[in-house]
Amino acid sequence: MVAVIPRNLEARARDSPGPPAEILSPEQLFTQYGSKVFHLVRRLLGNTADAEDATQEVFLRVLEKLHTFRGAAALSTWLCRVAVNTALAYRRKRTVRERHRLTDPLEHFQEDGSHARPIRRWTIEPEQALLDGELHERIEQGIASLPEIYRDVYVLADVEQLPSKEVARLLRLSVSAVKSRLHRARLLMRDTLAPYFEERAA
Amino acid sequence: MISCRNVVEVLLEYSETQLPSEHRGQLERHLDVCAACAAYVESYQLTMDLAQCLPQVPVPARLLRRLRRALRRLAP
Repeated sequence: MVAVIPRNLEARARDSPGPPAEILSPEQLFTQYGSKVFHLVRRLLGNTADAEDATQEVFLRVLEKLHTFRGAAALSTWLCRVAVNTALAYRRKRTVRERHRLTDPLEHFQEDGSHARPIRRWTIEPEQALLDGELHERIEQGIASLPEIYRDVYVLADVEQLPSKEVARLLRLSVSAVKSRLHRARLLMRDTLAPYFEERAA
Repeated sequence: MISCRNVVEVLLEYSETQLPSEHRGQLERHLDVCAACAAYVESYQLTMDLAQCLPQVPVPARLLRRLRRALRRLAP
């Protein structure tokens, strides 16, 4: 089993609350949260150029309103909400919609409901998963190739580790819609990663 | 008797231990005799875990410079 290291906004907020928001300098805000915000919006948007624009917008919005922040929610939660809203607004402005050719993972079955393809065990060493740059690239490519409706929930729920209720709130979906999309996203990610791990096992 | 497809359909509930115990029992009996599904369930769990192994690489230097310039413009 892969060792789980919390690297997301919420986990960081729980583990080290840091100074109150009102005494954070803008530089400290960038240093503490810049990377997290950037990677969250990059994954939601699927490209680096838009992510840089969106990250700048997130920090400008947050700095503009930092004096109104009273700590009712964790600063990380607030940043996360601004980041998600900004990324989704960016996507709505895009003129070219993404097109994905998608295979439904639930089609890979025979009529009697048995697997239509051979399923092999994966071989993963926990240390390898944390350090393997090629694997990280595969995962990032898999995320980028997910259709947006699945990518959003996968990034927020599985990468950022937000609870389904919070994901539902951020994306204005019901909790059951979040779970249904998350399940489909995981099946698609599993199918994307399977050749990599099955090759290694062979 | 549940099918492999039925197993795959409920993996999210299974991973969250939300399946009613009777359904869970049926699923686990299926896993005992179906190596393909046992491997599939394991890979589903690994897919969830792998989402958390991505490193937090630093923000590109170009973006940091942009942010600092934008901040200076904001300063009174």
